[in-house]
Amino acid sequence: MSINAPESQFGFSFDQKRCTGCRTCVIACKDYHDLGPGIMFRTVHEYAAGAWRLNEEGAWEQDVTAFYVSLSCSHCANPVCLRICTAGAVLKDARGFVTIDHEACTGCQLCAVACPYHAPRFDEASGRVEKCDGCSARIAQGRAPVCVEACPQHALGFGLYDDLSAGPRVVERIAAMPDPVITQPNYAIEPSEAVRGVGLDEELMNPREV
Amino acid sequence: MTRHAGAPGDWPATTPARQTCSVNCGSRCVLSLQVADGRIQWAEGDGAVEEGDQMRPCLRGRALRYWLDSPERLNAPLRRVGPRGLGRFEPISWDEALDEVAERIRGVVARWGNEAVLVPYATARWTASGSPFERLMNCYGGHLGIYGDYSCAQLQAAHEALYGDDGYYSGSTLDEVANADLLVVFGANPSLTRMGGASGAWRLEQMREARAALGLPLKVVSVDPCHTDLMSRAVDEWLPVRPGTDAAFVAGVAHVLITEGLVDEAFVHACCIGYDAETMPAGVPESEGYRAYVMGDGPDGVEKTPAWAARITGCPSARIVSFARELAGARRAFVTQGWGPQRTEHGEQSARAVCLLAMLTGNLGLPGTNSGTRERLRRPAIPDESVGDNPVGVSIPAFTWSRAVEQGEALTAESAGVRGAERLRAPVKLIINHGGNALTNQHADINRTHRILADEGLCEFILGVDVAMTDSARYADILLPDLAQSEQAALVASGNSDGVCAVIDCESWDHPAFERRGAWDVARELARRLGVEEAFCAEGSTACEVDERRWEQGELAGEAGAHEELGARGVLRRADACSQVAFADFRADPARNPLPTPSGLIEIYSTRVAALARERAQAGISAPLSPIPAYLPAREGAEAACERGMLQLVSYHGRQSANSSFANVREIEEAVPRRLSINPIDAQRYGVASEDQVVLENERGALVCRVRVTPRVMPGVVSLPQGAWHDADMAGDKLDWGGCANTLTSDIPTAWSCGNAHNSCLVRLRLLRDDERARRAKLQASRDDAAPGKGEGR
Repeated sequence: MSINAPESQFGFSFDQKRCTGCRTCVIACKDYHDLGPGIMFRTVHEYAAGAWRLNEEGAWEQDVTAFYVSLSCSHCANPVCLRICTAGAVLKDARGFVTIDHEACTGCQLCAVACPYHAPRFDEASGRVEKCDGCSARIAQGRAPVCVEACPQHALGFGLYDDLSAGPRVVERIAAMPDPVITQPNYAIEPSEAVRGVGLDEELMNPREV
Repeated sequence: MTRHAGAPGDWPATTPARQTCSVNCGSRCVLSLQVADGRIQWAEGDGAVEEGDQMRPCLRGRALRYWLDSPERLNAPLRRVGPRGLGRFEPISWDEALDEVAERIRGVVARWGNEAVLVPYATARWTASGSPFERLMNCYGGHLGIYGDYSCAQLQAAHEALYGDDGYYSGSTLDEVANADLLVVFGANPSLTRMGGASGAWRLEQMREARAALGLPLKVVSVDPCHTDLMSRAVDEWLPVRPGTDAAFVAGVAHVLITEGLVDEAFVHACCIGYDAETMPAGVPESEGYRAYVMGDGPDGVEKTPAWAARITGCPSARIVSFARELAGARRAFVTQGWGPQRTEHGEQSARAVCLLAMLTGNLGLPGTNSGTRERLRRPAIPDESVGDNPVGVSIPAFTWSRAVEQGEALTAESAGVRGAERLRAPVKLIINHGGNALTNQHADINRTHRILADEGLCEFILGVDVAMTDSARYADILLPDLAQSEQAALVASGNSDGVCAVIDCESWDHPAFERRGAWDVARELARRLGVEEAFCAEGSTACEVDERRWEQGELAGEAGAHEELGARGVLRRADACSQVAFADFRADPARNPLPTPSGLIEIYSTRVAALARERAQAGISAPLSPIPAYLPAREGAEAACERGMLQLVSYHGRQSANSSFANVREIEEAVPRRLSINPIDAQRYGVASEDQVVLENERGALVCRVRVTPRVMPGVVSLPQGAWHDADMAGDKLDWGGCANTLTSDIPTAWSCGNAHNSCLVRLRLLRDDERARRAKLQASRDDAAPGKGEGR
């Protein structure tokens, strides 16, 4: 299936050094969209790395580092969820939002499995897949996505991805995140200095939560 | 389909109500509740002004509706049936309940006197502050008072000894960090304790970015058993130390400062007593000063070298040396501490020692510096509701109330910090617990406290007034359902940690009331029954009238147009104009601006503590007290952990709850579950992996929790977010499936300030056994879920 380029492309941005992993974005999204038990569109990934060694004087040497990534749908330029959906239930609109057509969704969850960011989430109550729609209707009313408005640390942003990605330090992948080549995500991350490299020894601390 | 997924025209029509959370987190954030059909549909945050000034709610504020709608809400007055503390109740009418409460108050006061009535420490009714039940008792002859708190009793005493005040309001304001090039933080994580959008975490980040933009990056050094979210820049440094060993760390740093000639002696000689020969108080030998203590010339004869400190703290001596040099070399260092390090057995020593770093390096009284205490708290823009004067002039340390129940007259001024009398004249016989969970959950040694409270021969009557069936509420004889503050109209001031001066005009909204009633009206009903209604209503006969009085007494009342602006906008906000450098006047001229200490100077050697130690010795009470901020090993400290092969437990403020408020919200638990952090080295030693269910236990009790293996906590230490709701079969095995840290903590008050030492707690760890799982499953199946007062809210 070929994907027509949208007229404009929405994206989120993330200033990682500001993020304290508080999860306000997670709860604000859940509250606003009234997501049921077990479903979160936005999740916060906690990464940590570092080794401990007892030295000759009986004290601990360590080089620990830690950081967070707040992650939701990146409304990708090449969304694998859309490509894989046999029901044609995943749509990409003129403003670049990737959304689900609930009438068409069969609940097969192929998209949920295929997305390297695990953005589509299966809702047991409806038997369908749900995902972040970028609060597109809210944006149309002149407001920000609820997660962006909620962040007490002002770490999340949104806008036209061309603008967001123009920053000198912006990357689309840090630590153990998937290779952006797969889906071309529209997520502009300004990495924290606590990130020491890509895919080194950082370990995801909270796999159950994300 | 999720809400808000379709066209805006399809969205539910809602009516906004301006509100705030009303819990003890230090912030008051602005919420716009979107109400329809008698429920909050969702919450919007503070979108009224430019981004930088917003009081954005944290995850808990955003979860307000889940909390207010929780199945634990109380809906009707209840009377206990069965033994006290097992949580079995029957519904009764308001008239029956109020008549019985009034009768019990009258009876206890007649038999035992007003001193037998206690209104204990409780902070979940923080918003409009003063408790109407305290006011009620003050109108009816008074009650046993409490002083200090569970937050920082040790720090208050330590600060009093050093500087002559309790430290809440004399520290530098956080904005002074902008003038520092080094921020030294002992045991504080603002991302957990100052989460609100106008509070410390965001303000610190803004300052760091502003300094970085000027090419003057701020380095943060964190001395803490846990790796905190402050460590966000490459330049930052984490110095892990074992819980309770901060004073040893400081002594090691001081050794470097002294031996390398880095002490700011001009400052110390001009402003301090008790450091060296030049500064000792009259009659006290040099060997009892702090310098002699560090250099091995004191009574213990031990030189506090960095290697000595490394063995105790677990922090390598090379790091101690380099930190000392960096601190001395900083142009301006802002030294501060959270309230975790002082919440230990010798927390008064830790708290004073941290302050010492500011003094020894002269980082005090100048822009960009602090006194070593926490940054200054802000007084509310409008005063608390007045509770009137307490005719009973006797008070006890807040943490010692359970001993006042158990031991009564045995509590004396010398042994238990009783103030206003040599000893208590009566034990506590009646407790009015309004909006507090510190009878068990937030107190300590829950199993022991359960035995004290369950004994009806001790405390004769407990009135509970709360919004939810907390563990403490389960001990009530009569339990009255309160309205949440977030359901009521009130004027609310911005929090004591917020960097803004604001008043929020909170609105009532169409909420399900069941039989709930506001506490003010309930206390007034009791006042009427006790014949003191007129006195009770002296400041206003309704809660709204009282609010008018509070506004008139507030700092913005005199500003032209302010009241109109509040009415028009609902939130009145002004920049916080109260910037402050701790003890700047004192430093500029110590002779003209003396401190309220006996000497007028900073007392590194405290003559007051020396006197206290002598009094205790004369009374035959053995108590480890040191006039200087020396390191004292604790009964449940690092050395004992090593000797006994146990782990040190740190119970910290997690994101999940403000103390125990919000801890029952499943949606928060789902987003950020409570986990016991354990270092990979210990995880290997104990054979546990992330998500394993384990039992933490000691001689006081046992709890169940899940593990997170993480390098972010040092070996030998496990950390657990406190505030989880205790959940145990108190008629059976008492195993706490809720994972409440205070199942394990000790209720022994500290020797000096009689404070709570929750972070001096040794534990053993093992995997949960199958028989324990099976017993729990059986109990769950047999539990009567239809207990009155539970589950009716949904």
